[in-house]
Amino acid sequence: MSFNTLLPLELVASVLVLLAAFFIGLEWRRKQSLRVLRIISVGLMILALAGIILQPAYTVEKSSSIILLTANYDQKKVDSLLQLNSSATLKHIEGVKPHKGSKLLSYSDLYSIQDDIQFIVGEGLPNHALDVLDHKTFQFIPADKTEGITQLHIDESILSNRTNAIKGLYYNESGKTRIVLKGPTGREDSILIEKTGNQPFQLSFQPKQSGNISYELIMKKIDGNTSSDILPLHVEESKPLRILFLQSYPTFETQYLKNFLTAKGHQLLLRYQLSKNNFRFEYGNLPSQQFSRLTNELLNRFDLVLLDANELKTLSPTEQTTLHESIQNGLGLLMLDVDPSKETKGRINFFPFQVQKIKVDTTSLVLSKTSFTLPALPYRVNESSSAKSILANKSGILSGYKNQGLGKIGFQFLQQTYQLTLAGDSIRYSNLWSPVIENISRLNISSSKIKIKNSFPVYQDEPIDIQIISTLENPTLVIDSIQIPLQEDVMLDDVWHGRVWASEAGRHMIHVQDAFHYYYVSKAQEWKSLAVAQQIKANQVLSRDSETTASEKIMESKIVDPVYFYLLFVLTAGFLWLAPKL
Amino acid sequence: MSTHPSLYFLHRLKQRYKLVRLTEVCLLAFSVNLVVFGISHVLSLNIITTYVLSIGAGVLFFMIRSIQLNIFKVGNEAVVSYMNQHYPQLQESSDLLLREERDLTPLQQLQKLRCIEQFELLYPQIKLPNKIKQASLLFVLSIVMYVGLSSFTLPAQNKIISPKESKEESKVIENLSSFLESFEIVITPPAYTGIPASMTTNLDLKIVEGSKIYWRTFYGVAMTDVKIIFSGKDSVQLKIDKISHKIERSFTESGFYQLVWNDAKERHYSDFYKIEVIRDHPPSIAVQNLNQFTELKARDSLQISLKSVLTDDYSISQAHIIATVSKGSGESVKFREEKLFFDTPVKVQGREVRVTRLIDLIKLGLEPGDELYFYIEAFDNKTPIAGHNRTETFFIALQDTAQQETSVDAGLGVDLMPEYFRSQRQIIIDSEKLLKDKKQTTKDKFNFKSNELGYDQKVLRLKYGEFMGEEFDGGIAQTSAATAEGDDHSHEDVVKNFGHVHDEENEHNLVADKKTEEAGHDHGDKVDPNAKEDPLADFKHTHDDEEEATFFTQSIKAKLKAALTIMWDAELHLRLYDPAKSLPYQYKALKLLKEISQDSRVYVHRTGFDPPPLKEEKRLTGDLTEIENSSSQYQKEKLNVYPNIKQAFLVIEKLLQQKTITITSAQKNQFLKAGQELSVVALNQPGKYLRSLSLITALTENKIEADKKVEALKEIRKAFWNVLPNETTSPQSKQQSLHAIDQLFIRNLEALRN
Repeated sequence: MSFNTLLPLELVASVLVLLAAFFIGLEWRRKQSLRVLRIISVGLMILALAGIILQPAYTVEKSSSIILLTANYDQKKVDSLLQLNSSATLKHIEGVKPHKGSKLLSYSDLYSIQDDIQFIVGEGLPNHALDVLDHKTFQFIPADKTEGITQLHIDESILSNRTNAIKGLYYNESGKTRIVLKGPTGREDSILIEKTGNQPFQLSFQPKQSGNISYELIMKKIDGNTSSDILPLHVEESKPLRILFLQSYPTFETQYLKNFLTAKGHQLLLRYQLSKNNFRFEYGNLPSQQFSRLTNELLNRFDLVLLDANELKTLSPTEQTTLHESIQNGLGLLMLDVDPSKETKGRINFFPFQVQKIKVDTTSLVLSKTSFTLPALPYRVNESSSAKSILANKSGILSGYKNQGLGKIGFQFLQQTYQLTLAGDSIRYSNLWSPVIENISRLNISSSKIKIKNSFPVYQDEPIDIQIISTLENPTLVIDSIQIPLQEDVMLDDVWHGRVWASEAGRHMIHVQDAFHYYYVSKAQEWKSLAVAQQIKANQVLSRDSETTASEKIMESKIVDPVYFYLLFVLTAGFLWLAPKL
Repeated sequence: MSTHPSLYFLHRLKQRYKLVRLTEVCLLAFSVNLVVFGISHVLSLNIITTYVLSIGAGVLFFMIRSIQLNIFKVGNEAVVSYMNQHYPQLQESSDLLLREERDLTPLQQLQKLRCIEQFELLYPQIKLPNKIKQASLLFVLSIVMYVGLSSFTLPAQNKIISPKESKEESKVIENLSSFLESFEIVITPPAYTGIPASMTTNLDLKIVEGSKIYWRTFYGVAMTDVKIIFSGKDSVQLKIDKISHKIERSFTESGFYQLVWNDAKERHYSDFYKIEVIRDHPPSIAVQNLNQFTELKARDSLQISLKSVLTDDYSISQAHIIATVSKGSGESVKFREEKLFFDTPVKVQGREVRVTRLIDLIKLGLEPGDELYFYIEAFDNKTPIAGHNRTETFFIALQDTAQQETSVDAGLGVDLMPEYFRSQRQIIIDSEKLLKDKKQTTKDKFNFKSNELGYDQKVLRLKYGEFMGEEFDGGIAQTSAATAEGDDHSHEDVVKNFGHVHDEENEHNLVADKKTEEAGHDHGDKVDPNAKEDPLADFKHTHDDEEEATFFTQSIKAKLKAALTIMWDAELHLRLYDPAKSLPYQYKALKLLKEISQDSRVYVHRTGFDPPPLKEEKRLTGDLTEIENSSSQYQKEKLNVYPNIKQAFLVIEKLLQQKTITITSAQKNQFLKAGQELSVVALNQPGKYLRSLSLITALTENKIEADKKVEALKEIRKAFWNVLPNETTSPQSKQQSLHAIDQLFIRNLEALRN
């Protein structure tokens, strides 16, 4: 016996006892006939009230159990289950072939028999069906794996003119399989999978422009069977960074970096100190503006500050505090030409790294598969320290960063990298600097973020759950120019949920005020193996502990129907009303 | 009265017969029509001819048959006679029905009445002769036949939506193809190639550089404003004469062209056709039997046989060898250039020519140590500017054996070759060395060397004597020889000679200071002998006084005189095989010479920038208030290459997602813009992108069938992607949206750390 009540049991009991005592007292004092009967009915009425409030439940052995057959079920497994659990009835879900006289079960009937489902055999129920089930008490017996891609990971942001990767697992049943990634002009990358079982693969590609681009994954078996799936990718538009150079004097290094960044369309402001109060300013893709002091207002306009150690010394304490505050609020700081041996005590530490001095002042690096040597400061940050590495070799980290509040402080030990440009190797130069600048720069924080909670792929008529984190007062969710209602999260502020049913195959745009997101509805025949693998996983997560065997008895708790209590209440109250009139 | 209904029946019979026969004939005529149409379609005759033929055949058949059957002239009599023949019940008296009652005899009247009775009974059963069933069968057969025949023809223009449109479309396509086919293209390669002019109907052209192309079309009636657009830029109107449109152009660069014309309704654009220019390459020359560097010894055969193969696309017109002989070495090197012609063949001409030439080095005047450089130059027959090419320069060197020996002996480390004269410093060094090596060397050798140094010292003295304008009459007998040598230089620029002295100053630096100090000491010891010598020197110099004044100031002259005197002494002791005694004099002479060279420096006034005078009151105050910040600004907006191609690429991606591809006019516009960008690229590589360009035009003009659109779009997409350049990585700002709670968390974490 158990109770399902919202109020604490003790409270309810004490109130009811008091109530009972009060009413019994009243009836007792009333000088009328049928006193005993009246007192009994008062007791019964209070009991009925208790029943209504406390909702008592009792546990019984589960009366009937259902084995639900879903796509690709194994007949042998079903037969063994039946042997163990002879009383169970077989049902098959829509679109699955029946077995031994199993009855058809439509998705709409699933809710009514949810408590009786003891086993689900096969590929499991799709997400929308699982959502319907309030109590997931079934045990899931998965079907055998099917050949194909069973896991796929695509980077969240794909950037143009950069090597991006697609990773995944391929379940290879037998023979060799070649996976080819096909771009607009043809083959971008391919891999031959020779072993059987779940095999990892990685394919890389380099998109030349931003926007929505469809790639294709082609699986070629050695015997000539070929299947292909469309891989929809969204290559992000590049946004320019705003970078502030604070230097005590111009160097070749900064001049070349400046040329490189301005050519790429970034906005630059360079300041060199000529004398104590005289500066030289250079503006790349920016209107001219002059300043003599660092202010929060100024620094908030920039994403990254490049500072050399000499210039840091000349900054006044207030300027240093300002810089520190800005970093806490998200600004990136890249230190150049640092000399960690000369630590400035008592001031704010803008170089929070533990370094090791080494003897050589050059280092050899391997970038884009070729090695080369560059001059470097004779210090290295250890891998073990909390610094995150951007570029490292055997000797230690050459460039890296550390989070400071919302911002970052980074360093670059490499020197005279302009040699690469002089030698005509602009590719390696850009590969060397791009990650450094990108990782340390301020994160572009947008007011809204859209997240699709379904995993790829999504098919037509399936529900898509959308989560939005937005600081906006009233975000509006628009999909393909149709507004979708949003529900704010009960527990979390600024989190909103929406659900939409996938329409026709192809790309669709989600749009919340200033944020955009794309999702792709695959054609029914595409990405079958991946979808099945994900469905099996979802069912497995919800499956009851597999240790409980089929023959064990399953108990369930049943709430006593409150109608009886209502009836009892009406009868007793009615009697109490009638009794004085008799 | 009773005859009336029977007459009426008779009339009805006649009408029915006519109708049935007419239907039959019509059916047959239609069958004939269909069959003829089908056959002429199979023979792919002109559409008008087909119609005329088939309709003509049908009408002809109808006429013949109807005349044969006499359908239009069938009268009641024919019907009556037919009934008499076929229905005996009427007792051959049905013709009575046609007669008037009053013209009949009573018997006839009686018979007529009977006949009428019979006729009325018979009427529903009367069957008139016809072949309607056979005709229907034939008609069905002919339809089957027509369907069968028409399935042999190409299913060319039956995929268009509405029949009305299809007719127009087919007409347009007919016009288009016939228009394009009517083009006659004559390619005239330049005369020098020797390739005859040729005529082609293939609109894609492959021509020799500089060829003239002549387009001409005779389809002049319906077409107006016919233009050719070359490489997407130049549009040229075709000239019209009575019967044709024509144009002539010559090409030296690859490109493509498009035909544009108006017909009665609209403007048409053709596909793009390429003009691929085959370049006339300059001649190529291969030298077969010679290394680029050849060194010959004097004993080797000094005749070189040069063999070479000259090839050209069309013909070589001229070839020769340019040979340069270089003689001598150092500054006295001399060059002589000669043009040599080949021995065989005498006249170089043809596509591939093997040429030979025997080069006789002796005839060219080469001597040991000389070198011969040569290269072969060939010209082709291209006009107006002949293409020409030359080989690398070949080097032939004749070894100089004499020179080789000196190089072997040069192992001594010191160059013993006597210079014109040695400096005082060198003489000192040599004397010291001689003293040092005294023990190792034999006496004879020591004496010999000492004497030699004495000679050097004399030469030096004479040299300086020249500056003094000294006369050498007082010299020892040997001086005459020296003066002979000295004469060579006596007339040279004095300042130049003085330069040598100047050089010595540098040499002086090479010598350790210690030695000069030593010299000082020695000098101190040996002052007296000098003093003794001085009067003699003074005496001599007084004798020379008159001429001296020209060169130097008095003090210098005095010093020089002193130096010369000391040199005498130095020479004396060297000649007496006593270098040790000579050294102090030598040092003294050196010191004096040094002083002289210092004294005689010339002051050169420098000209140039005169800085403004400093304001003393501002100097060193560190006041920078008036100095402003400098700034420079540059705008390098990221070079957005092919913006329209990028846009159009995304449009294609979007279209490919759709189930049925419909291209809006805005999208077409985008394609056209991208096409313009692509055409610029196509100019350089016409073969590569022309097809995509044609597809773009076809797409924008809706000329591609629905089921081929996907393929076309994919091909265009491929071309666009290929055109986009590979760029280097650029840092990009990373997008992130942090929940307020996350931000708080990070801040608090930071606070905890601190």
